[in-house]
Amino acid sequence: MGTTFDQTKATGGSSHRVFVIFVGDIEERWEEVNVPAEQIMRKTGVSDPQNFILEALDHKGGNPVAEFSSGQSVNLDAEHRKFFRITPGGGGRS
Amino acid sequence: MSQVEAGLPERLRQALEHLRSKRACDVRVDAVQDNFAYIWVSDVANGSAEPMGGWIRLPLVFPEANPHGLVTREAVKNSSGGQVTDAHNPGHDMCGPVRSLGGAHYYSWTWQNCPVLRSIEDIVGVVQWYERRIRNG
Repeated sequence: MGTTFDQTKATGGSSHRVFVIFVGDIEERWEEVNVPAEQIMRKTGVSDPQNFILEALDHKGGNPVAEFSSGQSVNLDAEHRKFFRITPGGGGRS
Repeated sequence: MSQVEAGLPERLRQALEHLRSKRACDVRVDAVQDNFAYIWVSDVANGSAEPMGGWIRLPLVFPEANPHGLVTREAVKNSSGGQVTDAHNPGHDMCGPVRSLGGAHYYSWTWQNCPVLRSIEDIVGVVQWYERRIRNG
């Protein structure tokens, strides 16, 4: 099990887990283990996630340990998948 | 506030204040040349244990224009511990305004294909963008 906080809820005899994550200071709750980075970013209000990178941090306000473009899936059950930040993507050189 | 910073356009000064409020580190203006300010940020992370400092080049009309380049004292290392080779220009003229402060390495990174900057608060994302370029450089 990863460091992502999970919660087990009894629902009519079955149970499901809720992954609570933070993107900056914004809390999100997901019931799926694998969530597209695009959806995580959209939930914070980003309307053009294809222009940004979702970065997983080692702790709140910490250093990035993994990065996901909008087309990638994030395993919320993996290590270091509780705290995230959104960083501009792209970039060139002159 | 330094004399150099006092002379900056108001929106850029506001952006620097915002950056200071979000990052517990030294943020100051060390030089202005060719419509760009050289902003020293003392804790630009590269994914290793020890953060480094560097001068990010922000246009005086930020956020209406885009960042361009980074100047550092030492050659920058990426998250793997190797030297960042992406657009690395040692001893480039662009280091000139901060050469007396040790500026010796110029990374000519541009904002090409990046999201449009909309507000002064975007300065936080700009620094994070530099950090990503260092990590992956």
